[in-house]
Amino acid sequence: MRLLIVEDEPDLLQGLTQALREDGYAVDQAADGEDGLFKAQTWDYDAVILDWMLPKLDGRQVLQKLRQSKTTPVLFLTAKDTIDDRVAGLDEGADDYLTKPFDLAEVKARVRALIRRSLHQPAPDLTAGDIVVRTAAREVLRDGQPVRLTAREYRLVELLVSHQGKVVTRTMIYDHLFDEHHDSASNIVDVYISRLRSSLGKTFIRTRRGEGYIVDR
Amino acid sequence: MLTGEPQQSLAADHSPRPSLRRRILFWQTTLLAVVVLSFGLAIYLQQRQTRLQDIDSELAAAAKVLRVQLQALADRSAADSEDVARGLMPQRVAAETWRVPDTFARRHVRHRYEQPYLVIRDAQQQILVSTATTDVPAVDDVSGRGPFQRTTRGRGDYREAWETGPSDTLILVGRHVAADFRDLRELAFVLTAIGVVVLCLGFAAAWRLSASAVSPIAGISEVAVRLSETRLDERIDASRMDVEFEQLAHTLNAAVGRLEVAFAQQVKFTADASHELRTPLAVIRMHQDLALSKDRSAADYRQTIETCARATARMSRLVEGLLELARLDGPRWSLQTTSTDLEFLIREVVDDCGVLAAASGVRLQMTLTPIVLELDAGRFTQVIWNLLSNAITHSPEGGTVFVELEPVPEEAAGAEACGARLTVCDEGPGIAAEYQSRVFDRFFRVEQERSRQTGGSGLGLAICRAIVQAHQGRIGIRSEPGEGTCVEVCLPTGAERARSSGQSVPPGSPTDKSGQ
Repeated sequence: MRLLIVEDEPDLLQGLTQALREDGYAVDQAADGEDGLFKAQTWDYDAVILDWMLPKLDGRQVLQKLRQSKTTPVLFLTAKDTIDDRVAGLDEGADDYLTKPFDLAEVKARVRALIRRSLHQPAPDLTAGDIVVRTAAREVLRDGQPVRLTAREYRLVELLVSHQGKVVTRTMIYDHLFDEHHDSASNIVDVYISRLRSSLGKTFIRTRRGEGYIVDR
Repeated sequence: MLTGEPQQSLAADHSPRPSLRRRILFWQTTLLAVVVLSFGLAIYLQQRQTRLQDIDSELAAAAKVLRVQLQALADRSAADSEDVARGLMPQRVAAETWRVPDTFARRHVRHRYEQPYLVIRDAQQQILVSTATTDVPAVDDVSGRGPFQRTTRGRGDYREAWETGPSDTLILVGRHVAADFRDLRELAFVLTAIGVVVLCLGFAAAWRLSASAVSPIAGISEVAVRLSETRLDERIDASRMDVEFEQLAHTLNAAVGRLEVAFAQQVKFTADASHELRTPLAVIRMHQDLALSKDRSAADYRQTIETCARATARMSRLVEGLLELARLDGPRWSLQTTSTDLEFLIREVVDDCGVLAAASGVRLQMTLTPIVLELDAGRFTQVIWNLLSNAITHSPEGGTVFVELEPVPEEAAGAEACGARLTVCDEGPGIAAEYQSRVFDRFFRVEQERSRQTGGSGLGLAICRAIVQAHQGRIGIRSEPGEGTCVEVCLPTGAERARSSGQSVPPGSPTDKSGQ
């Protein structure tokens, strides 16, 4: 799962990025509206966290322009907290609204909810055969037993299970798991897939040669 | 119906208080009553007078006819006999047939006492002839003649007129007049009825008029009741009011308008302040959450604390600025002016700023003319400090900040008072024209410099403006994007005394001044 954070306060940007990366998200950063809009238009993020007051382009302008081409879920994060501001933000196309100062756990929960909704999977637990992905606790159960996974391994399972029945391409996996600064070997996806097969069973992820990977319904 | 209710409720609180409406009503009704009463009375009296005159002349005419008859009798007696000297002989008078004239006598009478009558008395008041059914008293005063001689009298329901006949006889004719005055009473009744009706109509009209006169007041107070600090957009509709109230309504509307602007500014200021405080608060809270979410290394904790310290410092700056502005806005603040050497003040601040400038690699260049002014030195130090630190912050490394103090000749100052001019210029990025008018607004920060590392509280220039304005001065900004920014402070001539004129520097661009 890959996120974009657009925030002009460096300490806030850095802290949010670190917190979400520790949860296994790939996180891109933008410090002003122009940069944020460019990145949001270029990549298919799973969610965008957008500040309202930004240099160059403010959050609402970014949202207006972004909504012309993308349906990426957007969480507005701002110090403006009047009802009028919230209504304006949501009407402009934001999917959720959170005012500063916020609770980190709430930001994370809202990001999870946004992603669930965008994938049309309102239930927080995803099931595929004997594998259950509990998105709230960020854990994977096999036959009811928790499986130890790294944060990135967990995100890969979540990505595959949330697209179960559909082929997930290697590019898609790469784009959703690694942020813009990641520059690893292209076979890194294969490495993660084989790690998951060893911990979740060989038949859990099937390879579609030349297309990608699929988790059966 | 809204007429009068608010006034009544007001009057109910303090019962003896005068009510405008009641006063209008009272005076209008009283005036009308006086007019109606006097008209009615005048008509009645005039009618009564006319009637009396008619009766009197009728009686007088009858008396005159009888006098002629008596005269004829007297003449006959004189011719017949010798006793003229003894006057009329009572026997002869009594023997004569005396009748009031037919025209007079032939009137409809129902009772005997209504019958017209005549009485003839001789000089000794002895009754010679009488047809009266009642006792007719003698006429007291017949002496004296002339145009104002009374020849009529009223006696109860009777009216009588008399003539003096030959040998000082007195001929009196009278009649019962109650029937004539019965008509007059009817007239009085009709007049009273009309008067009452007119008075009632007048009162109703006064009621409505007074209601409509005070109804704008009710309208105004109704709007005033709806006004509250959260709803100041109400205005009194003066379009259909009388000129007098229209003026009042406009005055009130203008006052409410000023209040609304002041409140809106206050609300915006509070909102901006809380908004500005939220960001550092969010930083602190988030980094705390993050640090506590799992075990971290000592370096991580150190970094968290450093981040929080930065945010705290920023909050402190904000709170200080807010408190300063609140003090400047407050009513109890006044300037503590003393005669101050402005040049010395500037030098002190420049010395303090030296470290800051050195750290940023910025040079300070001063061109100062000694000027002594009446100033609040403490407050003005703050202005100089804010302007200098702003200029240093926005200067590029290796740039120069120019500080200039010069007296402004009277003719150059133009219409506005500007005795001394302090100019602080930097070679920074400048400010776009669209933002120049707003830099003195509270919390305004030019967008490009909103990066919070260099950005201050956004209150510094607002504080400067408040202090300069308290000194009756002006503060303005000139900026050319890419070239630099100059902030100019003008202080009034009032207490200005140039200590020396030898060192005065011609005004011009700050770059051609010698460094100090």
